[in-house]
Amino acid sequence: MTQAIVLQNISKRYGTTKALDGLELAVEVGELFGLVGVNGAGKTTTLSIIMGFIHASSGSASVLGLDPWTDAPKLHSSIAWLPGDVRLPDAQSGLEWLTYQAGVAKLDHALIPALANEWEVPLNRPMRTLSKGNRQKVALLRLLIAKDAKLLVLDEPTSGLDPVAQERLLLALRERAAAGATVFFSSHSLTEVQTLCDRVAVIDRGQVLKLGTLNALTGDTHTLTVWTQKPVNTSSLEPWKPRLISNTHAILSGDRLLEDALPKLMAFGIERAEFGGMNLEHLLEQNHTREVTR
Amino acid sequence: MNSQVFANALRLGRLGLLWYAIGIMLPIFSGRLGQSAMQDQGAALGKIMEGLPPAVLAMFKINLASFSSPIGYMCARGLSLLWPIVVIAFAAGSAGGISSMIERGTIHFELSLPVSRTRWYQSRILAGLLGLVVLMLVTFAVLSVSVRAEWWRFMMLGLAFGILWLGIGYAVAAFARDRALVTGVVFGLFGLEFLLATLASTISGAGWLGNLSIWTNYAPESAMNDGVPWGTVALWVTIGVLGFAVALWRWRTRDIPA
Repeated sequence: MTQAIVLQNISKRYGTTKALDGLELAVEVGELFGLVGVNGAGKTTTLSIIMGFIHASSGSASVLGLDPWTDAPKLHSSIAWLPGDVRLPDAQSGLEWLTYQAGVAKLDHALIPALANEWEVPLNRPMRTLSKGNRQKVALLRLLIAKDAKLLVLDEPTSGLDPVAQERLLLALRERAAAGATVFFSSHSLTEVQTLCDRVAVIDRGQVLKLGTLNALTGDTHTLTVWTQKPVNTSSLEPWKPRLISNTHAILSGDRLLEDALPKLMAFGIERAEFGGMNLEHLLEQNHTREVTR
Repeated sequence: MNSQVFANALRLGRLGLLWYAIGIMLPIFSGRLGQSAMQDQGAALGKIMEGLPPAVLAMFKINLASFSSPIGYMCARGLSLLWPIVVIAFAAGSAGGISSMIERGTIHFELSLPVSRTRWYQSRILAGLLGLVVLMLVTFAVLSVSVRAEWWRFMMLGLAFGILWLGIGYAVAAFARDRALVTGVVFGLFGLEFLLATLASTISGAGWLGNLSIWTNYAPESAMNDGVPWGTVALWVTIGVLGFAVALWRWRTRDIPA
């Protein structure tokens, strides 16, 4: 098996709402894979299908060679999951809950105290008394004690963590990937996707818009950000795919030479102009803008 | 069934079960405490009761003869009205715990365990049934220390009544996304049953409605005096088991998005 996740033409409807619309995705074993998209793009629905929480309306899904819906119990012994918005039983202590989870999943209980110490998590208090960050860390320990998991599925996992913990989590994920695990990671934090992932899929409206390595996605494309005195008229700037942040603030990008746009921009009175590389923020915004204005 | 899921459900529900047990003891104790005073003034009370419309007496299962014996008084006072309400509340609370997990978002860590959904829900149902058995044992113990009688007859009726409502509760919970819906539907059904029984006893020609009501057939005093209504017991247990089956089917097939 060379592919950890294969999603083929997956669609998912909630009533009349189409959450996924023919989504196609393949993740290689041992890969650090990032899934990015704006709110409502379909990231969490994709993760829910991978985890077997929901079944696809149409299409086929294979995770570690198994059907995530019908083979969920078998699959779950090889998957560790970490949601972004962690909800844990209020009345239980972190230790009680982790011991229970480890018991059912047949994980190594002995790792819990050492990891709790390392991550500075108070495990003996009821979880209702813990801060959001500490709850997130309890859930993170659940992920880390599954040390033999072949697939780690994380849904915006760093929300609520302090910067030091975020960095440590990313390091831990890299180590797990280096040991052969596949990491499937959705995030709003594009910086961490950029620093962590081998490949990225950009999704919007339930479809993969772009998929590839970061270099392939951003390529040699550059941007020109301008602030002008007068409102920018975008019609004369179409070759440079203009995107208006405000009437007097625009970002141009594309394959055409950006310098060629400067004479046209002069008409609006350039106050400031910055050349830069394309990053994922631009990529997402560009795609989303195109969808909205379609 | 998964023993660890079962044990965890019991662990999480133990405090609630303690309160239900206290709730089920109090009406029996209060009935026992009030019975001697009521018996002394039975004649005066009887005259007052005779003045009440028969429909009201039927609605609240008041049998004038009940007040002359400890068993009758306890059945009329505690076991006919307060006891079943506590059991229905327990059923709604036990089943609603699952919907509450969906509502609060704690269910997904459970669903990510290597346990099939069917086995997980079975474990929860069995924890609910064990809770019911604990309530029955508490009831039996309290009744037995209060008055000597063949309480096992009431136990049979009460256990079947509890299984019926647990089955309904767990079936509703398998469809619901929040605890309030489970509580609302279970108590709504209870109200509907009460209404049917009331209409049957107050409107001439509507007596057949009583046959549709669980409430009409829940008659602890009659069970104690005339024997266990095994047909009713079998019907309620069957409906309860069907409720569990519907719950398991729905739980296995439903989407629970993260």
